[in-house]
Amino acid sequence: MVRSKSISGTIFDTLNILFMLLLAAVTLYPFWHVLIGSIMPYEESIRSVIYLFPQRPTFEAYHYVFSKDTLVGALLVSVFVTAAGMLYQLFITAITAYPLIKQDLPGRTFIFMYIIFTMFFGGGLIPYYLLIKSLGMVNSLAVMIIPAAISTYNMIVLKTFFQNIPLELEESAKIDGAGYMTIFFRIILPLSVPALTTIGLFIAVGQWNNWYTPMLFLNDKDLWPLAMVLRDILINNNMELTRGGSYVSQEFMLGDTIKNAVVIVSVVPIIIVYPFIQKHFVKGVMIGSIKS
Amino acid sequence: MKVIQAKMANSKTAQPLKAPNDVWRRILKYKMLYVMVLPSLAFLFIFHYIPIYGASIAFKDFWVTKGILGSPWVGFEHFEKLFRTDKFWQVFRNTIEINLLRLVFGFPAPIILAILLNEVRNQLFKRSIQTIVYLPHFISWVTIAGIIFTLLSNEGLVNKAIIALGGDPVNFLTSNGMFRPLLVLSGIWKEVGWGTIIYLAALAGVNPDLYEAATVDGANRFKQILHITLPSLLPIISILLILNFGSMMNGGFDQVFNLYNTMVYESGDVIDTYVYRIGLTQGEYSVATAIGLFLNLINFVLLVIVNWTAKRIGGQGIY
Repeated sequence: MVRSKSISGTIFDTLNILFMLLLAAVTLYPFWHVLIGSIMPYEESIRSVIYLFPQRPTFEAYHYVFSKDTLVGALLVSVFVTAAGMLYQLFITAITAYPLIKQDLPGRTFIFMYIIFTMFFGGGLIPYYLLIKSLGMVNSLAVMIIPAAISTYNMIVLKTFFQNIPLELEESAKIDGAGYMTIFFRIILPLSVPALTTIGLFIAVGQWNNWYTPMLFLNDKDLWPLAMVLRDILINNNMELTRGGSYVSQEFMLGDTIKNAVVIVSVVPIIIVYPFIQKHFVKGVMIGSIKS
Repeated sequence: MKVIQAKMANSKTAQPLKAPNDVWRRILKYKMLYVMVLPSLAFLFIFHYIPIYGASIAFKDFWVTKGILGSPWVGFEHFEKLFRTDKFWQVFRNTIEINLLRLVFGFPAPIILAILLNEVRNQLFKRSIQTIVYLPHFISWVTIAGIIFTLLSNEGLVNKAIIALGGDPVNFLTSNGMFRPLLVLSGIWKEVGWGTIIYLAALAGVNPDLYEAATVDGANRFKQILHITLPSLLPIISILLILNFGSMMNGGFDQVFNLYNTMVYESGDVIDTYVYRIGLTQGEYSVATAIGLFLNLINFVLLVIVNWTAKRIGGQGIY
């Protein structure tokens, strides 16, 4: 795309680039501020306004965070809930999407409507709460995994992806005597690795960030994932990290540094997987819009 | 995201009717496929359809000990009580007013950003900026609220800067005048980048020849944006705008719940947070369910209106 270079055009380009740089700074600075805040000694932090880099960085807050059973336990819970939830949800979503690509499956419209309807209408918070309670899933990690079996949106994205897999592959497998289950596991899934990865990572981020389910259903602090501990520390201002412990001077000394460190611990895994999702998610969104 | 979500729901599957024998033959042929969809149908039944039945407690005097079936019917008593409560109408108004603010300021933001990004010529620079601005979408509101508290508290960065410049510190987090701007701005900060994806996708389809022809005709950049870029975005803008009205009653629970406090209930309490508090904190199950049901009903009606409007304008509905 070649455009003539006029003076007004050059001015526009310069201002535009400056605006983009400013936007990038506004987006990134808060994270930087927290990162620096987590390694900056308290005395130094009260003196400076904008943190660029601490003069004497200290990793005391991280030592503190990782020395606490609560936080290490929460990290393990988060990892478990993320991994198990992702595999489970991905499997159910994929195995539901595959049959729906068969245009001549009797009852397909009904099944589709049955699933879509759940996107638009629900019983609301309280009936759901009562249901989970009566199923005995309160204070059980199962509540973080089992109910979120299928995401309608992801199911539709996967279905669109499956539809683009050449039918001939399936036909030749059928001639070899393979059933639909075999075709699904041996042909459809291996060919869909990019789509499955993208959606899997989306699910993983959702699981990792989920504080809402534990807030509703997990009263037992030992079962809390990191997101919930984070909420307790950041929003409820609960600095009582040790189980049954009390405010000790160390916490007062570290104060905000600990908060910042916990934020960083919860954000870092997302930053690590982010490049992988980023590569795919635009494509994922595209698949969705091509459909319509 | 919403438009895609909604648009993807639009799968017309009407098929010509065939002889019954043929249907049975296909059912048998596909029996394994039914086995495959069964788990998710069962899960949706348990975790989605049973709560819809459970919403009947909105019309009952619900006692946990008696269960849903055993609790006596009371008709519309809870609704009548609710509609007489000032607090309910306050959160109702708050929800609509906050969403109108989000619409006025939050809706155009990704459109403007997409147009500006589209003007960036260096592809590497453009992609880097995109990567950066998409990031906050993946961070949870808990974390973002934590960061906001660090920046805006009385001892936070912004107030330190204000004091350093000789001003008086501002109560960003506990004043009713500040809370709505806080919601709108933090919402834009988190989602503006992500929101550009769909517009950039639309712009990727614009023929570059159009710009070249315009340049030859002497149109400057601003005129090109006005006469080429913006018109190509108009269809998707109108669809998204209409869809936006369909979610007018959703207060954005995650954001409000993590940012608000008792000092700003007056300006910031929305229906979702109100339902949570009276239902799960105060244990008024029936009343909370009644609000939820009322909300769902409005959402459903809005959806029907929105879909009808979208069909009239764009020739295609969302379901």
